[in-house]
Amino acid sequence: MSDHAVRTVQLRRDFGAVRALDGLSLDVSKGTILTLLGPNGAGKTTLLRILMGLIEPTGGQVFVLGSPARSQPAGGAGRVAYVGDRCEPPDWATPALLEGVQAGASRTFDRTLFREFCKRRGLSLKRPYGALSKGQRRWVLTSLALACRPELVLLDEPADGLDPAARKALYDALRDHVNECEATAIVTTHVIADIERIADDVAIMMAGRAVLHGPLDDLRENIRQVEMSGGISSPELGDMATLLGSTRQGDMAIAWVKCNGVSDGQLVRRLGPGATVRTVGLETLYLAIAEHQPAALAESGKGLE
Amino acid sequence: MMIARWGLTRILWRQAMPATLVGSLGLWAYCLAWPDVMMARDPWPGLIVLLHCLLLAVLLGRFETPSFAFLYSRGYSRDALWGHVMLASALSVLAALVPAWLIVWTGLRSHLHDLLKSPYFPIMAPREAWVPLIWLGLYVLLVPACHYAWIRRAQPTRGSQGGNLAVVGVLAALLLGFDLVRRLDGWLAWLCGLLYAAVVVCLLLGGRSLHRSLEVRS
Amino acid sequence: MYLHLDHHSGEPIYRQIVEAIKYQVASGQLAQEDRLPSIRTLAEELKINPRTVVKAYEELQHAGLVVMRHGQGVFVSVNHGATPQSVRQKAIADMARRMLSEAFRIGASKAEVLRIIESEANKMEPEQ
Repeated sequence: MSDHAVRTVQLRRDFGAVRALDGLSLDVSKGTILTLLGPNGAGKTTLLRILMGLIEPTGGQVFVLGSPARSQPAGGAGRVAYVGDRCEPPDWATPALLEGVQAGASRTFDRTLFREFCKRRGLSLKRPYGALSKGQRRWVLTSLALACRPELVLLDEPADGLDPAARKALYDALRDHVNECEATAIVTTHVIADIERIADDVAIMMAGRAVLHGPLDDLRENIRQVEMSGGISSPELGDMATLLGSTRQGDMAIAWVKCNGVSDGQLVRRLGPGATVRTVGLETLYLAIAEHQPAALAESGKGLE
Repeated sequence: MMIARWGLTRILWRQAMPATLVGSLGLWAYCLAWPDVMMARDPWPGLIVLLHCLLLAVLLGRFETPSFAFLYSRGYSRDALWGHVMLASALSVLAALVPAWLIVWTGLRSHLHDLLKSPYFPIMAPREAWVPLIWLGLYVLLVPACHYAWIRRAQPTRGSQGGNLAVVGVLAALLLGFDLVRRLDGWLAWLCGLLYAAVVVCLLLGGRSLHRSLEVRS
Repeated sequence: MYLHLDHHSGEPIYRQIVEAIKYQVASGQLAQEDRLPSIRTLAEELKINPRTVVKAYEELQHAGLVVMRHGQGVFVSVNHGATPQSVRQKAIADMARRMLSEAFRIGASKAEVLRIIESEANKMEPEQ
């Protein structure tokens, strides 16, 4: 457990009749960047808010940096930093004031680093928050977070509204921080290209659960799209691969599978002539799960590791 | 003990500004304009104080706004945040009360009304000197009470109803019975003073405890 | 050291590093006993996780191309046996395999494929 920056066990959170998190079990190793992918309402923001101590779970357990998360931020004093959705300072506040507010909370806050971040995007410390563009605001909030040198960084759509150069600068800064301090980051984003660039691990969340979770390189190595006329079923694949989703186009069956270390050649031989095996990008994989997830996978509630 | 952080205090102070203005302008206007002799049982200052306290609780307790989510996600402990909310409230109260008290204590009020040919001044001036102290006593009781009530309202599932009723009961008794209490002597007066202090402390501690588990949702 | 990474290609990053270094070693850009960048440095340059670099270096060591010397760094090994020709031949074999499986899938015969390759190669030759 001490290897994990974050650990949730059957985490549940209800908002009245709405179940935002439904038995989420997720382990996040130290020194990695985990990206959360999923539709709106999948529970990503709720998870981050629980980790930050803004709200409490309804059931299950959650551990942040080794200790149980409660209403107090983990360990207090800036070990966990958060850039959230609808979580912004008042319009009249200047970056200079925000720097003071953050420094008061975090013993490890580095003022020089924060000012350097601001200078990089040409942001004055005296200009009120409300006068900044959306992208500049995100940059200020992320700079505040990273300048604390936190052990855990929680970023909810941090690059929203940023142009490609600013996105790159933000993610590069995040990667530098994670590498230098062996920190951990959990990032929520809808932009597949960003995930492909930044993620060490990917977790796809649907309806309050993690449906798929693993290193991105593993997914690249093992996830395949299989096409053949007729049908593809789990028993056919046996223990060679797990069926993630399938669909038909005319008489052609298309399925997405996670191979258990077998090569493409072995898979083709098992499926028979006429089968084509391709590698797929993350977007295709996500769409496959979102649109064509087999019922069995959804019901079992157990994500794929 | 908590170290007061200037940046956080400044943001909270500004969030509370409308309350400060209501309390300040209300009390100062009353001090300057009230033509009769000020007495402890006059309702106007009491209402102004109550309004000031209610506004403080509401303005510093808007837990569903983005700016509160921001403040609560910086890494301050819940207790530190609560302490700063109390600090900002105290500063707001002082901003309203100190000038009002000075208006009375420096003789400005007396002099002004003397000029306006009031029959009461400057003769009655010494009688009024302690009235702002009553207001202070009201503030000290009502600020924690309003904060407590407001936080309690945001968390209906926590705490027991019985405890709340007891608090409300004692509060009401204290406020209504104030006139009576004033005339008490000796150990009864001390007892009432003790009760007052106990209620204030309970409200502060209770508020702090509820605040720890408050949900910040925006 | 310059390494080109394509995050969007679907090829695992560690494998891209391995292939790139294999190529540089085989083509002579990296000589025997040359020191490769440290794990931290390479991770910082490429903006990737150091563990990915470790995985790549370990695979290269397993393939006999590099040697990790404790406390000193990672060095290109002597007698690694990779030559420009062998690397090139392997790359061509990979390309051929992919093309052939696609061609057979659409019903081509071996003779047909070879005939077409010959003809295309002849068309291109004048440019060489």
